[in-house]
Amino acid sequence: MTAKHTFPARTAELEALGEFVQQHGLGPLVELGVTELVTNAILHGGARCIRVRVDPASGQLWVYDNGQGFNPLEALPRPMGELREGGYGVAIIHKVFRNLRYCRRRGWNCIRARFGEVEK
Amino acid sequence: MNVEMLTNTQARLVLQGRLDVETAPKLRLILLESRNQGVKDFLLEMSQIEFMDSAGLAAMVSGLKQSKAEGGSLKVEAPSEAVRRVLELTLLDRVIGIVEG
Repeated sequence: MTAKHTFPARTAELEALGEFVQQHGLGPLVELGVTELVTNAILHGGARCIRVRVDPASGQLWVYDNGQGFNPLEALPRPMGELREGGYGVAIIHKVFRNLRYCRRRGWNCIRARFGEVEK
Repeated sequence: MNVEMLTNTQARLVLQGRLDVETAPKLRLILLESRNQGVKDFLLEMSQIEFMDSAGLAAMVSGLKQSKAEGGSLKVEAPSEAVRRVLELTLLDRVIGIVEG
C-alpha cells in the first residue's frame, strides 16, 4: 500500500509534509531527507506542485515535482564538518537515503529513494 | 523566539518549534538585529526545537561565522534530538560549541 500527499510547492507546506511522513510511521531521518528533497524542488526547480508517495512496507518513497528539469543528485555532495552557509542539503539526502534515482517524465521530475536500514 | 539579555554583549535565544527554510529567515534576522545592538556572544537554547533541516543549520552557521568575524561566539545549549541529529549527520557537532543543559 502506498500513500500520497499532493500539495502546492510552498515552503509553508513543509510542516504538513512532516505530519504526513510521521502518520505513516516513518522516522525522523526520513522526514529530514524528504524535507530536503522537497525544499530543493521548491527553491531550485521552480515547481508549482509537489507529490510525495511513500511505501513503508518496501521502504521506498518518491518525490515528484512539475518544475523545470532539475536533478539534485548531479550536485556533488560537499564535505561534512565544514563551517559554510549552505550546501548541506544534498549531503544529508545522500546520508539518509540509498539507491537514489532521478528521472524526468511528462514534465515531472521524479526522485526515488530507499530508506530503512540507515535509520538509527 | 525569545531573546534574553545576559549582559550588554551576551544574549540567550530560546528557540521553539521548527527551524526550516520557512522559519530560518526569522533566526537570521534576530541574530542580525542583536549584533547591531551590540551583542557579541550568543547562546541558542534549542531543547524545544522539534525539527531542523539544512536551512536551519545554515542560519546557525551564518550567525556563528558573523559573530566570530566580530570577535564574538555562538554556542548551542541543550540541543534537542532533532538538532543533534543534523549536527551529527553533517559532522558539525565537532565544530559548533555545545553546552549541555
